[in-house]
Amino acid sequence: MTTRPSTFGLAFASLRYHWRSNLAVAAGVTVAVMTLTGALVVGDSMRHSLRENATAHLGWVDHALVASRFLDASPPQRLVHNRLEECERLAGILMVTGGAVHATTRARSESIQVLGVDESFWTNTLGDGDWKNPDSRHIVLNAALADDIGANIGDDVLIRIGTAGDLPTETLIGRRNQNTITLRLPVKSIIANDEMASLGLHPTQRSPRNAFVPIKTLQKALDQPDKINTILVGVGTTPDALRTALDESIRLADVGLTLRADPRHGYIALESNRFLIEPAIERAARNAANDINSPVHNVLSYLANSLASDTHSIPYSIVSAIDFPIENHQPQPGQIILNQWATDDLQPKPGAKITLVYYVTGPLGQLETETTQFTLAGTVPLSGTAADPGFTPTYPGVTDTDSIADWDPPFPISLENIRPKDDTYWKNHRTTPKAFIALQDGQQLWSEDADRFGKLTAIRIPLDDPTSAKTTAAAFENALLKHLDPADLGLSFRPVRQLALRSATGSTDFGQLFVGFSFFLIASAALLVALLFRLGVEQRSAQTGLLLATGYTPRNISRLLLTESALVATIGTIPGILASQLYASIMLTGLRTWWSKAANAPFLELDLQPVSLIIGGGGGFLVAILATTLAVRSLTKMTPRALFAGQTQPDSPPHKNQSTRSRTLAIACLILAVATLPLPALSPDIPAALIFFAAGTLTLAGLLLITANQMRRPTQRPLAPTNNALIKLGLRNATRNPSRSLTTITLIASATFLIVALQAFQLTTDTDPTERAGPTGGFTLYANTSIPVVHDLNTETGRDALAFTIPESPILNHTTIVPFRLRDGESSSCLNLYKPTQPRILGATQNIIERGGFTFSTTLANTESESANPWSLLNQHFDDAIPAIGDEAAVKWQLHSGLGQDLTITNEQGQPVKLRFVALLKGSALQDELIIAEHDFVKLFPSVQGYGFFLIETTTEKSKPVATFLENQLADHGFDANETLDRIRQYQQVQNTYLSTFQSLGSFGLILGSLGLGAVLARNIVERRSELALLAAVGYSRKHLAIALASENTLLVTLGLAVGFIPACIAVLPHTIQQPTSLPWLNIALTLTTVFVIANLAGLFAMTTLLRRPIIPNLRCE
Amino acid sequence: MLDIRSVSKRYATRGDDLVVLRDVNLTVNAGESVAIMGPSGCGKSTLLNIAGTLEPPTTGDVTIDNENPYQLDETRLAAFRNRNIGFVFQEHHLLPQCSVLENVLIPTLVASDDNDVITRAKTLIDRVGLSDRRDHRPAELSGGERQRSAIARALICQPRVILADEPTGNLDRKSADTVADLLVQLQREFNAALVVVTHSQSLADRFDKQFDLLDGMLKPR
Repeated sequence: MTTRPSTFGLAFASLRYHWRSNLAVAAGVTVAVMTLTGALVVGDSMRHSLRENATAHLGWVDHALVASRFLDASPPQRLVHNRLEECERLAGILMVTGGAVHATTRARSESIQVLGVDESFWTNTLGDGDWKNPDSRHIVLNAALADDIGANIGDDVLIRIGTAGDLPTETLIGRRNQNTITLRLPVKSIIANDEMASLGLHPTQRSPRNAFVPIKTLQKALDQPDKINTILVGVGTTPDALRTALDESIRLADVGLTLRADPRHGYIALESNRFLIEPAIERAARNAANDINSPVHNVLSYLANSLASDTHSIPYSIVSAIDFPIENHQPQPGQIILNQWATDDLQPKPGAKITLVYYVTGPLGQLETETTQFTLAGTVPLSGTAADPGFTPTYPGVTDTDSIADWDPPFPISLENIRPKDDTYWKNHRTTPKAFIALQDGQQLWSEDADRFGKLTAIRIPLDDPTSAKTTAAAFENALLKHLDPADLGLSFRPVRQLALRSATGSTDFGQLFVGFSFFLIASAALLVALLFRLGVEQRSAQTGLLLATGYTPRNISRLLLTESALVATIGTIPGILASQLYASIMLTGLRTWWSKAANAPFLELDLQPVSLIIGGGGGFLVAILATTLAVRSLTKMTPRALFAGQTQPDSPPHKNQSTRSRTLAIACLILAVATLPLPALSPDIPAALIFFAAGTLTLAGLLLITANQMRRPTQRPLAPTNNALIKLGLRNATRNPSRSLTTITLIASATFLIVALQAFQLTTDTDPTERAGPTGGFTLYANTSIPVVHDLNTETGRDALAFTIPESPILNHTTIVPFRLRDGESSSCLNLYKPTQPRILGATQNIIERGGFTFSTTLANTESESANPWSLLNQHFDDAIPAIGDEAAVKWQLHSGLGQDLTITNEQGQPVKLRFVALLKGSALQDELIIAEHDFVKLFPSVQGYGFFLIETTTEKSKPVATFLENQLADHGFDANETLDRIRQYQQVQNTYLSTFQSLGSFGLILGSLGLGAVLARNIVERRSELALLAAVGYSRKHLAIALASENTLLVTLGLAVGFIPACIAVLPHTIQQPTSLPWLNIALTLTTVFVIANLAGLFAMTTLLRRPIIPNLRCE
Repeated sequence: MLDIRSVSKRYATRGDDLVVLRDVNLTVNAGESVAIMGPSGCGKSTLLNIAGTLEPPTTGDVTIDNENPYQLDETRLAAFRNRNIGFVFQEHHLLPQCSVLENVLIPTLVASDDNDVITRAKTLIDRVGLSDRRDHRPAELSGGERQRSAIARALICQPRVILADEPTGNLDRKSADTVADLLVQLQREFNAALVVVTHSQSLADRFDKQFDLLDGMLKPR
């Protein structure tokens, strides 16, 4: 039984009958779907690869506690005892940064991690080492480090590490010199097959460089027996559970605290192996004392270089600042109480002035000698509570010596001043103070950085009854542990896996980025789909006319055609989804190879997510449907008569008003485009990209409108038989189907616009690195150290203290080295694909803040002086945030923040802290770091000692010798100096590579444009075959026809190039004025020539193919 | 003028060859007009194409002014056609992007330089009664006007032979009469040989001789 055909049936029949033209449309849909889906797959793959890479660097580790102090946590399980049964794995290790040098070749690698581990650390291989034997001396390298220094098994490697102990190096008693040691160890194995080999707690593309030594060996080298500084915990627990466990398990000894009971002198003393009691511990101790209803006696003991009366002086005496009476004497502010021995020695008159001379530490650990006078208020006997060496905590190298001559303090002492009786006093009374002053005086004189290091050397709980010492100590300890928050001491577990996964979402959504990069390709494919579909439908215009004539409404016809287009789109979508894998694979290969400077991620691999395939496929399908809908809509507006006659364009030229309107609109677009150009100069807040796109799009639209108008306008100068008459005929032919020609011009113009404009945005570094207001800030070099420097490199004294072999070297003349404190973390530059969760922070000294320099793109400056030197904004005070400076590109694109906005980071205690951007650097060499003032830095990261980052101001000629000199002299610190311009170039390469990627994909779009041009020309020839036959009949040879057709093709290409080139020049004008770099004209010319040639070749191919067929038969109207 | 001698034309098909023309002979002198009639598909247009050098005969010769154009190479043949032959087709085949004047001038664009062509084109346009339509495009013309433009185009190079294939086939009677009158007048003015293929007896009646093409053979009527 015959049934009436349905719309679907008709559409399907049409699909089959016109399979050739539909196949071309489907191919266009395939390209659109492939591009869109492929871009999304690139994004998925990037995230997946970053995630895999980040977690691969974590091995079995889920949480990590990285302490800024050595912990007496032995075994480490005790610290998380309550949760141990839930944890899959746990290991306590020593992890320090350092450098490695091949003992023979001297090849070196800086910023390596040296890990002291035992067998509990390893997963599969036990690291191929002898981890149980405490005396074993060997090293295991991971493959990345071994490659860096070219080490093989059996080679000797020098491992350089910092030996900063418990004492803060920036205090008087901190050891600033000789704070590095070098271990020479044979390589026992090189491992790549254990998941722990590349352990890195900060996600980074670069594989961590790790050296593993037996923990006992490292503990011995660092003189930290049984100590660890890192606890790694496997899966099976949570940060909250770990925090609770830590709170409940921690002991005073774990954090270097001692509770010393002295029943004889009637007190219990809380002391720290850091000498000074940290503020958080002091607070906890006060609360604990309050809990047990006990008063607190505070002690700050200090070493005076001399204690002098008018006539006599005593060298090197302990002076204790106290807030409690001693032997019935309590010093008041400005007063001093001597012990009997000192009074006998100094022979002061009652009420005499006693002069105290002592060291204080200035900036960069510089020792300065200060003098203060006190009024003698009394003398206490050298007995009872005054005869107590316990006023001074243990200080290794001093308190454990038998003679002053054996002292090994970190500051200079003059042994020649020491008299025999001083040594006798030392032998008999050790650190018993010779004088007492009021606590507030002592803290005022000796506690400059009290908030950071503390202002007490002991906190005493007085004992009413000496027999209660034990019970009171126990009660106090319990109360103290209750109030002691390990987080305040920098002890907190970080959910490193969770943070890594968060970072792995990436600083940039590569899916979006590649959709953006592929936008033009997708748009080109859509235009091509529209063009091809329209050409296919136009071919059947008579059929459409017939349907209209037989009573079909335009709506019916639209439905029919759209059903067919949906079928075609479906046919194109499926291979598009499949091809997207190929497209994504090519893009990922590109990111691993050609564009590796942008991604720097050799670990990228393909990852297919069904959601992206569905979104990409669906999106491409919709683009195709939209494109065909527009094509169908314009066709169904034609009358049946016109369609029967094979017309696809309205008969009549545009109405005069329409033409005028169009011209006015074009002029308005051009005027607006020109008007936007000065905006960046007038208001720096207007984004340059907005101006670029606004000026470019407006000019492009204006020129396209003018072109459209010209094409539709009747010509004033008729064709005439002249020498170039055939060319003119060809040009005239281009106006035959204006919308078709305009589509082609638009395709080529858009591609040209992008390609040319992006050429201009390629960054170059032809700036003078010594220019203070430039992107280098006038610093030709920057340097990092593996081990922080705590001396002033600008002074001979500082260099001498750092054991420079030639501290007075003239190489450093006219060279200024600006130090920055550094809290290492994740780079916020475009070189880091991970989203920084713990950015690298620099602490800027007041010197650099006052010096200024660099170019700023935008600031929160309110005053003239702030505008003149935006660095001064770092000294601003906000109640809820800390002022910070960052590079504009890093802040905007990596941290997704901006001027005046806040970025939350965590301080050393793990508490959230807001940084507020007060100024943004422009194109600077400081994209990797965020900068805050030093005084804020030390509050956030009190344990960071010294300076780990340097900017070096010198001449261009001297930069290399200066770098080499400093690297040699500071080899122990792993001083690694590089040119700032190189750093800028690395950043610029990322942008340039992205631009190249964009251009490459734009070029694919151009190829599609050329294909479109070929299709248009082919269709034109087919459509005009009777016309061509007529021309042949009236005496045109094939050559004549070819000239006319080629002229038409060349006109479209040339117009496309011109309409794209002019807006590109206008759009980049503000950029080239602001950054007067020479435009790569040769590249631009080459690009345009290539486009011209490719597009003409595409046309030529279509033309020669069709003209080869017989022409004359087309004259037959039947 | 136009001399067709023993021309036959056959086309290869899947079965036997299709013979369209058999030993056709026709001579048309300058100033003489000939109508060829016959049923559809009898080979009238094929004969006209062969006469117009658009399609070579299988056997036989065609000479125009004693010159056999089929001995010329393609480029010279095109130039020969341009100089000597003017075509009028049932479809006007005007270029829609060009004005009437430009369409008339189309053949001259590949002709040797001739300074008078524009004047001649305007005169021809006047002659076909389209003076006020000179700058109009085909889309703005009626069917008759389009065909008159096509006649002007056929005559612009002052051809020796005018070949018209159903020139009034698509026109109403009035327009057909006008076009027919013009064809005859201008052929006489130009002293050209005119061969018209038509189904229309009234059109054929206007010409000096009439032939029937039946079974591939041309016979005087």
